[in-house]
Amino acid sequence: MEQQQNMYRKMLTVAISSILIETGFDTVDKDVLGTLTEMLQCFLCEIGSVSKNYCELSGRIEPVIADVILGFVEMGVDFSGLQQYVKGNKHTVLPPLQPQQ
Amino acid sequence: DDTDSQAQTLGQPLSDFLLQLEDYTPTVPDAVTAHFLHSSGFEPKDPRLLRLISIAAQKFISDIANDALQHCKMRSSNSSSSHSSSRSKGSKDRRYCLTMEDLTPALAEFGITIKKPHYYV
Repeated sequence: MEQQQNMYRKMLTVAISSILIETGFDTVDKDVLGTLTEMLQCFLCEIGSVSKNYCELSGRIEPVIADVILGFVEMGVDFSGLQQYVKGNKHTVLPPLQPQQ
Repeated sequence: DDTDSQAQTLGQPLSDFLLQLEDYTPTVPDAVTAHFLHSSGFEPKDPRLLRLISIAAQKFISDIANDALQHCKMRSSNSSSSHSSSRSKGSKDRRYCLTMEDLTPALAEFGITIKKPHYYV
């Protein structure tokens, strides 16, 4: 379990690294990368739990987009620029994981 | 109910946007996002919801990085103006390194305070 957790965190670190390269950085300190990984993990867990709570508050078990939007609002995430962000520039895509033989 | 309909009108452009996510691959892989969402009990059937969250998370980091880059550029241009000889070499081939020094003010603008213990290494 521990090892699996490490694997997912490593993937987050790789994703953050490619975002930073995209932004224009060439190198990054190790403690900064650790901090950003922690923040990204926290962001994902938080939006998950907040959205789940909104979903269950409305008596549903299947989350819909409205729950996620309310989650964004509660977390103070500005989602108006998302569409522009996706269209704006090409983003790096990590290579798919190869199944271990 | 009231909150639901309010969210729907608020999210109208976002639901249109959701339709475009059908064949978009965010930098944060779907499986990774799904794992952390599952760990907090959120299990969407629709993979587009997953992608929307991935993109929001990606933008969150990207915005912080952009801010930190501005700080980094500002700081390095300030320090290089004091050594005028190195400035003439041009800022074109300058390499940018993201350090705590730049990240801390960038995060402060987002209302996030980070306090790392400073160890003696």
